Amino acid sequence: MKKIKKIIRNIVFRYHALSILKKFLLAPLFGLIFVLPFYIFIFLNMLEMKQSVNSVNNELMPLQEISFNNILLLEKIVNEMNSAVSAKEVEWIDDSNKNADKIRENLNRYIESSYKREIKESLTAFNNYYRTVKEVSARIVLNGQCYTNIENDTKVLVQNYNEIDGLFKSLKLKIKNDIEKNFNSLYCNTNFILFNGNFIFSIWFFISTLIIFLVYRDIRYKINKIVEDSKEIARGDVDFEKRLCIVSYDELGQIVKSINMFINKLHKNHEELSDAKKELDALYITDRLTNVYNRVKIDEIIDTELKKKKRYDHICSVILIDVDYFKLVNDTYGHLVGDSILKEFATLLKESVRDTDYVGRWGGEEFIIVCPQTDQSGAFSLAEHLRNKIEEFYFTTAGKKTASFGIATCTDSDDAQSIIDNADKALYRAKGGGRNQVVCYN
Amino acid sequence: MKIILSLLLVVCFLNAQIVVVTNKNSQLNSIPKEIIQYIYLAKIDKIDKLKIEPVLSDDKNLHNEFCNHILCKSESQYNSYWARLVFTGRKSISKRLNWQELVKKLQNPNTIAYINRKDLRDEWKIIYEEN
Repeated sequence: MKKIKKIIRNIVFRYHALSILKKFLLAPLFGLIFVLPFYIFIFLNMLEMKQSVNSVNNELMPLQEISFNNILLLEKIVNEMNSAVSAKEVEWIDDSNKNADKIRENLNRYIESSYKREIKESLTAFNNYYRTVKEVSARIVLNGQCYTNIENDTKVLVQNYNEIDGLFKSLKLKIKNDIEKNFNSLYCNTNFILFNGNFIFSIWFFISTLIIFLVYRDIRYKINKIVEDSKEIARGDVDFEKRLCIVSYDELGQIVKSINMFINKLHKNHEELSDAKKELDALYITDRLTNVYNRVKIDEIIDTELKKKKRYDHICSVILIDVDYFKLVNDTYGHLVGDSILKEFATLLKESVRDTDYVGRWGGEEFIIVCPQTDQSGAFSLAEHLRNKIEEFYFTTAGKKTASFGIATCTDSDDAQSIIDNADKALYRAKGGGRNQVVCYN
Repeated sequence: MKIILSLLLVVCFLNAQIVVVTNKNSQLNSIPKEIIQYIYLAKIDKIDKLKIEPVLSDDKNLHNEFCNHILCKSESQYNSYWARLVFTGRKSISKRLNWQELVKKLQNPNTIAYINRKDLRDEWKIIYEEN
């Protein structure tokens, strides 16, 4: 069973390895293979026909000739004996010896043929007859027709003559029948071969057509599979992980290979492009210096949160933060130190906010935090927490710094502009109120 | 005179009348000359489904007379004819019987024989007689 499976797998593999032309050529080839036994059969038939023709030519025809010849020679002997007796000439009797010798020679020549038995029988009967006819003729010539034993003698002679005559005639008939039989068998064989020729052609045609149909089905299936797989790959979001999968080493297999190579290249390009796009996207929404969101992204987030407020009534708050006396730092230590303070400040903010909050740089030394689903008190406690963290943090070079916080919580009437304005107003009040404090707008 | 007488006698003897006879009890009655020829030349061997056995006499003169007058053939013709029958395998030549044998043979009802008229016996009947 395992072996058979292996063999079948091997055959299928070999089939797939063939080119389309060779696959189609399988049709006549298999037709021929199926037809071959019939051809052999017909060939054997032809051999048989040849044999029977040969036997007719080499044996039966000459045999028939000599059997005719023998009958004629026998007739001659009879005539010669008759005339010898009628003329009462004993010497004439021996004249027929040459004819008798001819008959014996004829019979002996074919004694090894397939009519051995009949020929031997004929030979014995002829010798018997010839001896009798000579004796009786001589006696009749000498004694006339009135000697005592004539009745017996002639009776034996008549018997012998009829026997040899019958044997010769039956031999002739038999040969004739055999010739007829041979010709009949030739006729039958020819008919048989003609009939089988049609049959062979039909089988060949049928098998060729069948195999062409099967190969066509196979190729059509493969083409359909290629089309389907290509569609599957191209459907919706292009899935570059997929590949066309057809086991075939013909022209279709080459097409599949090419398509797969093409997909590989596309995949590679696509991955590069995706990476570049991600990078670009990050650059577009990130502040270069502090690595937090820039205004573009923050505006987008605020818009989204306001929409959520309207749709789901999810409250949100915005905290504006300003580093206190930052201008002083710039003036004292230079812009590079200012930048590093901004970096540290942003990092501190990012680390201290909750995971759901968005930190962005609003401009200069101002930062912004958008807190989704956070009411005023939540935002306030977050801001207080941040204020404490900042107060405690030791900045490089500049040392301790503080920040002011302005909080605005969105209402139904707010838009992006107004909520920022409100937070800005709160921040302004916090600055005015002495800095390092949190002020809520309302 | 003597010569004339003896000549007459010879003529008489030579022209001795031949008859074809059979047993008195036979169903055969009169047979025409052609049929007798046919029987003795072996062309037929039956009359009215009755198998007829012709008998030959060993009396050469009688036989010659028979051949000449009834079969209308010379003796050599007759012999050749019968030789031919033998050689072509049709019929064997019958033995020629002497008087005793002939008489014995004629006891069979279907046997016919040719004899001189003067030899006719009571137990036989004539079935053909030449005029």
